[in-house]
Amino acid sequence: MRFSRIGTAGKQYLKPVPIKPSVWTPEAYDDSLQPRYAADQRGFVNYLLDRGLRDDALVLLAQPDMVPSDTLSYLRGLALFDDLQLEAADRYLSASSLEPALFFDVVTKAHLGLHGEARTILSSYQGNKSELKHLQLAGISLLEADVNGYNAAAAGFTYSDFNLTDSERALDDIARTIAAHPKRSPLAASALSAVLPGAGQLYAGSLGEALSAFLTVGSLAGITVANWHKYGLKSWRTIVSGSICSIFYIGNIYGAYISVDIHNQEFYNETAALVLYNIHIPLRIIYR
Amino acid sequence: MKLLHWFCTISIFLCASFTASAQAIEAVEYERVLYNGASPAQANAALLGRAECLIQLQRYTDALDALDRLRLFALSAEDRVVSNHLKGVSLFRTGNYAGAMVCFNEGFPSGKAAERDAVLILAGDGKYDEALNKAVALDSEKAPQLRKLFAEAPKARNATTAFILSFIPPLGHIYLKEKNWLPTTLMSYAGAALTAWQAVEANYITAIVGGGMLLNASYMEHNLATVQQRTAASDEAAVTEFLTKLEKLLDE
Repeated sequence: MRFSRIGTAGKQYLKPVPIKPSVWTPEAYDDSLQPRYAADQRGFVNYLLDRGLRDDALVLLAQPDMVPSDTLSYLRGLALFDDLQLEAADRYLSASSLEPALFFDVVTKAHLGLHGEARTILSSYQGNKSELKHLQLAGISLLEADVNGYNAAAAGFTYSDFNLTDSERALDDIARTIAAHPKRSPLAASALSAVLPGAGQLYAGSLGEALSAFLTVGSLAGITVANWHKYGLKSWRTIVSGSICSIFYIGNIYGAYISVDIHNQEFYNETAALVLYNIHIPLRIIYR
Repeated sequence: MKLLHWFCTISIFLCASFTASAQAIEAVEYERVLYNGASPAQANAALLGRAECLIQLQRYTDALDALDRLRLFALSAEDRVVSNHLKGVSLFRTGNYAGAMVCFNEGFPSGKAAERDAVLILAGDGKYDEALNKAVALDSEKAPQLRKLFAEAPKARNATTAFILSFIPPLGHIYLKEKNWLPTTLMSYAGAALTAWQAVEANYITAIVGGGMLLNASYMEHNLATVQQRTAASDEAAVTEFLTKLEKLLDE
């Protein structure tokens, strides 16, 4: 919820979503115990994760009798990914050589903003899921707002694999939205608001804030002019009302800058959320 | 002596960690019973066991989730009261005192632990007389301390009274026992003074815009608009403090 585009409220909104700290540490493997193989637990772990019982999955996967393996690393990475402990998830998924781990790792890295690393992993993939690879490459291009890169990757879409078709079409829509989205400059908005209070907010697409800024600064300017006319320039009344008016005027310029910034950020956040969703969902269908 | 103290502390810590870890894996294994396709009766036994473990681990929301999955058609009368107890405790711990009371009314098992939880639930729901009687019956030796504690039990504050008092800052804040009353009170009086002064001087625009803005920011926003919400928050804080003291006394 956003209450204001001015001051700390605006700054809070611009802060990136904090990554959940990774506090999970599995117990060291103890070969004196009866061994338990992750491959045998895969169905149960998926059942736990599908029911949202992430804590239970992590408890199970942290036990000292779990024999180290690629599958164990993959399942640990998957459970941590579901629990949003993305940095730890990245560590475990990177350590597994299983194919699903590779694609889940790409999504994890995309969430972490490690687009270059995600691209490198996909470039080295030589398996038979080439359309899934193209889907993820296209998604990463969109996260970087690179429409040309998207078009190059999307050339590999066949729209014939029912596991991927919906996501491919969704990414096409997002690419069209990004291409059509006007690029607004925060500096231009500030300049407009300096000339006419509220104009920058209007340029950012916020009619309510534009009216609010115009009326507030306009009223205060009116009071200052009235005081000046009635009591003279050196009267304390004129100085006080003029000072308040100046503060609101500067706030209006800063607010216009923040408005555009937030507008751009909102647009990026919304498209990024959609892209991440659409490169992630096919993995759930194919591998779980 | 100091060495013995440290030995005991470390032993208790290790023991608690081991128990917590054992309970966590036990809760997982109960879930496995359901995964393996248990009969309704077996599923109920597993879910009750799981809920008990999760309550011990203080994972009350997960415990409620397990209890919501009970197959009610296959629940015996004995298990039903156990489930009422576990659900009541979980709801109480998540702050839903009214919900916990509903579970208590549906029947708790007999036994000292359930009686102790019933005292807390009754107190949480504001039924102080009943809670006191039960607590005294549970441990008559603590009767004087319990009576003293219940004599100081928080009374629910009236939002309408708070609203009326808030017209004269800072009476509303004082009634709600809020500590940060000074800044908003000063702002309210400054706003009122500015409005009155400018109106007397016939500067109506300054009076309305300047004083009005100041009054709106302090008086309306901080005094009136949120009074109901803050009355509830103030009550909740007082009840939580009282319940913590009561629980400590019961467990001594």
